Amino acid sequence: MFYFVDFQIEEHDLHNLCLLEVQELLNSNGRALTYYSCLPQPDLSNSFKFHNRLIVDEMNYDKEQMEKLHQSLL
Amino acid sequence: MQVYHTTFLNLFFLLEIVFSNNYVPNLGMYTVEFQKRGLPHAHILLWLSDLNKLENAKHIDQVISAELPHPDLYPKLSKVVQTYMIHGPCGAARFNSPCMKKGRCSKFFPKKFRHSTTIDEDGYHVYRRRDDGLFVLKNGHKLGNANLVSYSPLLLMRYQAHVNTEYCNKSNSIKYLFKYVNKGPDKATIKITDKENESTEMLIVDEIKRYYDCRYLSACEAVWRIYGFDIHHRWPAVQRLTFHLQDQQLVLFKDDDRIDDVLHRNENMNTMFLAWFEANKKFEEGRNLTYAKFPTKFVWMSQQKQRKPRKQGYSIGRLTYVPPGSGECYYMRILLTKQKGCIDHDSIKTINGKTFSTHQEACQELGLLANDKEFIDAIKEASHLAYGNQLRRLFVALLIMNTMFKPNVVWDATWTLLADGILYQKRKDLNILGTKLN
Repeated sequence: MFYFVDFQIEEHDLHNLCLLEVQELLNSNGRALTYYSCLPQPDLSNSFKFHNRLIVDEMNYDKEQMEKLHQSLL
Repeated sequence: MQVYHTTFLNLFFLLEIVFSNNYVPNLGMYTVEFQKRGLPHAHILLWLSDLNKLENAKHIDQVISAELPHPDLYPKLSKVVQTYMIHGPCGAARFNSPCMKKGRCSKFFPKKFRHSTTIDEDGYHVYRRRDDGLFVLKNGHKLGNANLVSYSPLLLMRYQAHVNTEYCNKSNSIKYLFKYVNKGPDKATIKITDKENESTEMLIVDEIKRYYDCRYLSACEAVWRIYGFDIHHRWPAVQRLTFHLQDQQLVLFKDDDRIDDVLHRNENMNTMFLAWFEANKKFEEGRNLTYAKFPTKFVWMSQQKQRKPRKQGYSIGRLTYVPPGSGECYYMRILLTKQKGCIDHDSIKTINGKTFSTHQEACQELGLLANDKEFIDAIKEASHLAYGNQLRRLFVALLIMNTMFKPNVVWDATWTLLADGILYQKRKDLNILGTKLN
């Protein structure tokens, strides 16, 4: 099981998750992120990305490492 | 601060002199109340102009005294002070004095003797009360400087009444005055019974009839009210100034109004703000005034929707509050505190002959904008102590209160801090905490 070294979240995803957290806090105060047009908006399509352990396990590749490997094998 | 307790006419003349002849160059307010036996009692608060400010103890001593004048040197004043300005006897000498609360005088008389007027740690003034041996006999008790209510010799001689004058540098005295505005009239409960008709038969009790809610008006108060004198007055008048972005004035209409009618009615209507432009085009004297200063020289005729040069009186203006997050309108408000003699919306955005396309740019040109560094610093500072979820709460609070100029700048600079803990939480949720599988 070499692929499961450690569970990490990529910066792009972390940014999105953080926005979702802020969104939730705003919602409980009767506001929405869309109200602040200058702020980045969360991508709701992958908001469930980290909900299911099995999917997380399947998706948790070290993409950088694999890209290097791919490059070297070409 | 001055507290008056005097006869009807005296009070009326005093208020008239002080408040209608622009006697007070700066600010003032008063409230009038009527005591149980009908005497009017006014609380008057005056702000002195810089020219007349009482700056030190010496100045205060010149205006306010808390000592008995010598009967040989000032025979008339001495008599008035003895009649009106003595507090007491109270304390051990007279336990049932109205000022007695829980076994001691609620006004803290007799006071300590002092060589000179001083200001204590809390900023309150303690007047000079020298132990000079002078006293007055009241009900067989010797009362001296320790039992004197502070007064102004001039006002006392002029109005021949109880005129308590105090120097005050605390803003909470305003609250004290407003307390009287909201207090409402005095109340007392009276029960009227019919003794003769008492019988042993069954009584029908009409609870409403048994208790009346009546109002007691003394003759003095009745006259005050009939003539329509002010119970409460503030001076000068403060005008709330409205403003709006170009072509964004407030339009009022009813639910069932036809849109054409609404448009027709409002098409050429002047607003308080637009009238300012027009007055600047027409009259020269307002051109060196900011919008907030404008009411000092001009009046707003709300019927004719025009501004005209002021002939009498004095008024100050205050700009309506706009939260920083509301964009252009906020920047316009900032500019309005600086720009003078504007004749149209573009002239507000004109700095040194150059017209900017937005109010924000004009503000920047004048160096009026603080950037969001303080918010970024605040979040960074908090990050040393707070968890990510606390920081996110802080950020959201700032967002909701519209305090940040550019939320995206703050977000870009701090989101990595705000995201703190999310990874940990996800690991915990997915039950892969610290798991390392090899």
